[in-house]
Amino acid sequence: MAGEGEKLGQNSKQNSRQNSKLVRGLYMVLLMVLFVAIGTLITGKIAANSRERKAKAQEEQKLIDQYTAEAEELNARIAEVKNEISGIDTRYRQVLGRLKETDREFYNLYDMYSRSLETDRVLAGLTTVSGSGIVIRLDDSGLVQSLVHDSYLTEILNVLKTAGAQAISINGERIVPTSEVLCLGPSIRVNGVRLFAPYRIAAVGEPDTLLKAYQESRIYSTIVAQNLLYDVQKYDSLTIGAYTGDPGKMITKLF
Amino acid sequence: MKFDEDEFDYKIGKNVDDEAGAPGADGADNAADPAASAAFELRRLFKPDIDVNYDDPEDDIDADVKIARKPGYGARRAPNERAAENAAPAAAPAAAPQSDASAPQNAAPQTAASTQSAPAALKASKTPRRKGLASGGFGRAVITLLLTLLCIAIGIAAAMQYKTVVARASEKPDAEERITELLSTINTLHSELGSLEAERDELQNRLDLVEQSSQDEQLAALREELTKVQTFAGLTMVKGRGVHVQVSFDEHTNVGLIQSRLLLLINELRASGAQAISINGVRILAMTEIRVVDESYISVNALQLVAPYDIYAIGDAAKLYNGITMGRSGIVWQIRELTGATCTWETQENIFINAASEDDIKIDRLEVYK
Repeated sequence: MAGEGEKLGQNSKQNSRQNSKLVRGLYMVLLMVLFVAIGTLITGKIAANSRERKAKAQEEQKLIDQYTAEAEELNARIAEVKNEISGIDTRYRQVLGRLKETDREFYNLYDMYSRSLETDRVLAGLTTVSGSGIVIRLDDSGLVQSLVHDSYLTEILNVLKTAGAQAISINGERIVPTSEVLCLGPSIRVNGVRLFAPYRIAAVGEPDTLLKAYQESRIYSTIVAQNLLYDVQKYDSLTIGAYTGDPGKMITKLF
Repeated sequence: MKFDEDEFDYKIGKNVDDEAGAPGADGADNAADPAASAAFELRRLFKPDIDVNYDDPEDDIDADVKIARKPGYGARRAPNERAAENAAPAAAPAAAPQSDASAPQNAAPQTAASTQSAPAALKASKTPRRKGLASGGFGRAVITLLLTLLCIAIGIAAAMQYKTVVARASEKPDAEERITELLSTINTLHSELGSLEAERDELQNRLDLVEQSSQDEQLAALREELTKVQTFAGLTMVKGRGVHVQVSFDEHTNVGLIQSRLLLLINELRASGAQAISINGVRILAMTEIRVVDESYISVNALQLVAPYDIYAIGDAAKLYNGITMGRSGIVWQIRELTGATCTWETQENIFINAASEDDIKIDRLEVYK
């Protein structure tokens, strides 16, 4: 009996041994496959990542180079135009000088109108001006939804004006009596021109006064809280461009 | 069979049986098969309570023989082995009765001897089964090593991934930042270039005028230009068609709210083509501010104004009207609903708007660019 049981036990043991052998084999294969898969995934991901990174960095560098070149080109052209202006001005003075000697009366009249015009053009914002001031930079381009609102801009401008700003421009658009600042989705419209973030608000005035007024204003804390402020800096010398629209078009309804 | 859980010492890769010299591997099958051994260990990890391989009722743990047993080992032992084991304990009791007199003294050493002989016997019986270095224990060690290496590799890969993400996150602002900065600069430079070119053209016209036209023509041109610029700047009195908005409120209204809505109203009027705007007779120029004083009234251009506020705007009357009512923000509705003030609006035919004086426009800090 015992022997039988033993024998049976041994047989079942042998069977189970064989079964377990098979099962063990299967497990081994499974493990191997698993490890190979993991290894492949990891290697593949690492390779893909580094490729991706390299490609992106290259692309970005290309863009940076392209834009830097563009900016330099613009600077060169600006210098060119400034030269032209200076040339024209010199010639003009020469002609006037001659006129002063040949026809004094006319020259006086002409000169009077001329000077008035020059001053009024500055008052109207039709000339490029420079002076000390601050530049506020706002950026909402990183956010999903543009959060710079009409009210933000009108408040900022009002704060600057209250603090004595004498000339203001947003991304190069000069603020004149007819200037609106509208928010159009991811962009703003000033003087009928569409501008995109980041926004550069330049104001000529007393830098410390402007800065203080801005930082103590209600709108400032809102902007900071919403992470829209990029920075604000004081400048000893700031250049603000002239209004480039046609003044004649902006007074057609006035009589 | 019963086994004492305290004697159950299970660690992956470390086979306590090896230390005791007992059958560590699970039988002949595992002796040369580390992978299978690993598989077995893993299965045990997941199903420690189920002993799939054990079915040997004869298995017996000798309490004196401190061999850590894993259920299943017993079943895997080869027959000759078991015989050797059975023989060993048999030898001990056989030896003991021979010396009754010295039983108490000899019992200890003999038990000790039997303790040692049993594992020795087992070890002796085990040796031929071991196939060189490929014993289960070593196999398990290799598996452990491989798994450790794999985990290290995974860890390194994960760390690299993380570094990539972090690097990308911190890199990203760098290059992207520069790009957006450059774009903004280009934007501004374009504007600057535009304004300089306009100025140059203007100066060129002036020069042409002086060089080519008659004196009368020149003076006329100058006068015309002067009027145009002055009107644009707000330095002349003007009249025309437009809209009239009136905002009135009492002391319960928050003047700050009124002020901010007024700023928006002026903005909306300009956006709708207003060419001249005034509040209570004060001309609104480019740099004109609206300030709140004492929380009870506003100050425009340093002039204090009290309610009701009459805002006049000259332009395309229909466009202006639409702009303030149906416009993007419905500003007049806003004034009504949000501030609690009374707000009326209408188009008007002959609106007169005062001139501002040159003194109202400060330019002392401006250096005209030459």
